[in-house]
Amino acid sequence: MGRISYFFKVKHENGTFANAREAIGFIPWYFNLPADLPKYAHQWNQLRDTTGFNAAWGITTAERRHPLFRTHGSGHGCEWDGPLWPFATTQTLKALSNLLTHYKNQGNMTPKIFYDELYKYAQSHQMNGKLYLGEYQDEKNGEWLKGDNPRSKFYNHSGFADLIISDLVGLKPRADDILEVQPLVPPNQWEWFCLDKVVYHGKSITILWDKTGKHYRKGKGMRIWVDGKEIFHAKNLGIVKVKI
Amino acid sequence: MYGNAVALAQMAALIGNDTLHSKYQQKAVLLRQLTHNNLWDESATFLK
Repeated sequence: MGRISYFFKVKHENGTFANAREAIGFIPWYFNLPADLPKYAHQWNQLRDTTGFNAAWGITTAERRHPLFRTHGSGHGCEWDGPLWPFATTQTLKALSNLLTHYKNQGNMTPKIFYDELYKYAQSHQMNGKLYLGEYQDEKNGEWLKGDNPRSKFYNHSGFADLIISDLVGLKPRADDILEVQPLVPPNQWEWFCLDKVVYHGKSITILWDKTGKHYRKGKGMRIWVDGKEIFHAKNLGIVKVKI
Repeated sequence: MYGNAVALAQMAALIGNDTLHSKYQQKAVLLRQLTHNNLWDESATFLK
């Protein structure tokens, strides 16, 4: 890279763009920034393209078809040539959740895709079968590029819990006294789940789904409790907005 | 920067400060416009 180093060169001084698609291109949806138009939503199709960002162990940080993909990483410093970076995955998955929750135009994205990518992400938080989170990861075999190097070992760069609470189960933080839940759990994916004891606006929230009612023995369907009092019940998983 | 501007505008609205609300609202609108106009690569059909 010579003596002049840089983080990104997405746009050159003469106005032309770098010729690589990078996962940072999904970050605008993290902030619900892009206009709700088909042409912007269409870029999400790259997510599941195996020559785009889709790899066995997760979402790469640069498109895999680029000739310089994974060609000049050192294994010592910062790796900006495309391996998995767990924090970038958190950003992309949050952006995808926003696309699926707040946009009409969603390209070919679905809650099932969100679920599958989040599942893959969960599986990637490991080393030799034990829970682990490092800095950069090989997209094909899950190997941590810095091995057990302390800089990587203590990186702890993942918003995994937030993706489960606010996106998969879908508890959306709000300033007012409305409790909003927009689950991205695909229909028929799970027979049951429970998110328990979430402290929210000084109250304790429980969100539960039990298709048959037999698992938790609290009855069938989707139910919500606030400080132990049931305030919502519906047959199916869906969008909830209730006053608390 | 856009996220911060949106959050600050919302916080200003919460405490009823119209001046700050409109200041950060305008920043958010401008940053959004600049992103659309400058970071969309039409040939790659991708934000860069």
